[in-house]
Amino acid sequence: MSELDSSQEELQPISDIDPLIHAPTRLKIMAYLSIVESADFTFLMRQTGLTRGNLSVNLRKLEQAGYVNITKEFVDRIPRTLIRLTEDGRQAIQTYRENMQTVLNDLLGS
Amino acid sequence: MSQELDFKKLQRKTYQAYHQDGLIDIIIGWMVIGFGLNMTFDNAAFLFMGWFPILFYVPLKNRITVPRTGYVKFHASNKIVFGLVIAALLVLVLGMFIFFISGPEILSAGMQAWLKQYYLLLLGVIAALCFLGAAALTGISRLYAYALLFLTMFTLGTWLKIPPAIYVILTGVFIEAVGIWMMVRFLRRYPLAEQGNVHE
Repeated sequence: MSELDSSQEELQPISDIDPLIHAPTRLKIMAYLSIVESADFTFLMRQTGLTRGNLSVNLRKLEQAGYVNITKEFVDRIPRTLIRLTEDGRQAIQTYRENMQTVLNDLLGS
Repeated sequence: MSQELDFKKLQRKTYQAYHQDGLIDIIIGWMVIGFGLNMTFDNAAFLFMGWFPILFYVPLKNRITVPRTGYVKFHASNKIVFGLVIAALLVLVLGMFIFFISGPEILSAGMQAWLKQYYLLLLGVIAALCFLGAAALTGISRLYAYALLFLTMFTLGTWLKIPPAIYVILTGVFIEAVGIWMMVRFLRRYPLAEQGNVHE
């Protein structure tokens, strides 16, 4: 029993990885949003290489988790969907990077 | 640490991607051509013509680039860096202008003669330094090439005693041509995209 507990403890860093961010498509979105203040839908689509539908679905998931904030505005009568990371989102990507670093260090160190 | 570097790289690449439309090059090229034409015809209107397109940078960016590759707002630190580069450039150009209008008397006769002979070479070095600074700060690698171009053209021009207007205009035309080529490539690569809607 104690050995089982111990092995679970060893794997704890992997459990700490946020599955919502860990998915490659969402990780791409979060990575791009973390390096800019805000971006519109077209910019994210071009940079991530995701399709319109895929990007839309994943943004919705991130919005529901409170990681991104999506606003709509009109510029010269053209609609623009502006996306930015929320404070929770910035914290989440930072924590994700730290956790991944720990996991990678553990894996490479062993 | 390596992840930190990757994010920085991504940031640089994103910044470069936003400036792959050639708009900066077209405006810089136009400014240099304006400067060269001013030297040729001794008419300040050409200098004004060279600086005038700066006013259209943001509207053109919104009209040409944003509909194709999307809109992005970089963190304030990037804007500060870019602003500092522009400010340094303006201060240098203005400083030289004021110096040549009113300042040379404070220098010795020998220094004045040297400046009179090599002022364009000095201007070329200053321009090259500005491009080097801008390239290092923004990560736009072709600005390194422009630094080298300015240095080469202005050195060769001075050394071979080519009329200044010729190599100044040639430098401008080269940058302008690069800008136009990049713009054409950009327009072909990125046809107009419809704005996406997350909740459509």
